[in-house]
Amino acid sequence: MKLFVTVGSMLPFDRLVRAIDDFVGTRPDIEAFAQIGETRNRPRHMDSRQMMTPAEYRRMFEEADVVVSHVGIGTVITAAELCKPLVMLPRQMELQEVTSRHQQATARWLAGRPGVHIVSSEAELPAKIDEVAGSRGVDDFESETRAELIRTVRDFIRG
Amino acid sequence: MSGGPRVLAVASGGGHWTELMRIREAFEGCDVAYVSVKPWYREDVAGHRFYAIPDVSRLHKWRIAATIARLAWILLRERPQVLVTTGSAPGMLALRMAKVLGARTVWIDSVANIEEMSLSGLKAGKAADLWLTQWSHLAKPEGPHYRGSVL
Repeated sequence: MKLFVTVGSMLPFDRLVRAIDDFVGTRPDIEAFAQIGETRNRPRHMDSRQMMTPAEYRRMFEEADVVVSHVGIGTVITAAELCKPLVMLPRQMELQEVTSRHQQATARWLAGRPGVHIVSSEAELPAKIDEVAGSRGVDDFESETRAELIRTVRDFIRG
Repeated sequence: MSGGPRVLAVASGGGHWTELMRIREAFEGCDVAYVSVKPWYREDVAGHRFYAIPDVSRLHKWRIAATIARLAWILLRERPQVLVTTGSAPGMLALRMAKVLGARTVWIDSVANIEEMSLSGLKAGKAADLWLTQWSHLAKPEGPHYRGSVL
């Protein structure tokens, strides 16, 4: 199984990276790559990079069977575009992992969407990854609302 | 490059940039330049002008002078007629500065702000000519308005 781990760039997310690193260390059948941002501890059992270019990011995303991430909108959009299953752990403000509670709100909104699997603690990650492997990916979003936003901005620009 | 309106499209990193890319069709036919905080985003907008700026947030307040200086240089060079931003703090700064220079401005609050507007969005909203949220339940008669979302 191929895993791609991505946690954005704002603040460290040691909890998620360490949990996946430990898990991968016990599982020779898993090949993992992680984009770790400001996370302080470098993983020992998987290759990692602080940041990636958009092309590298998309390539790792495409090759992955499961993507594990924080609750980032960019990640959700890319997963929907590439139809990949997502396992997400929200960053917590109380643990200085994020500066607002918006990831918890986004997680509540995403919960139940096909292909999106939210866990509430890092301990749930391994079992969830195994459960999700090979399952359907995130559905692409219906584009009616996007067309409306694009039309609104275009009309405003044309004044 | 084109005779269309001069547009400056600004977003910080991660989801903000992804959201901006989801609406870039709105800039077709415009003379558009892009601004963001990661130099490598340039490859997403190949064929267009792209400027990298220092990121600024509640975590990086000390960078604000450098960000403002760079934005001033970009705005004076580009002289946009319209500024569009999907946030966050750098977009708010760019919007206020562009407004002073006479540009018409659009703030699109991130779709990640589901339960309340972002702080940047509330601050920028007063200056924006078009002030948008991506959630109908956050819209108010005096703004922000709801006109669809990137999803």
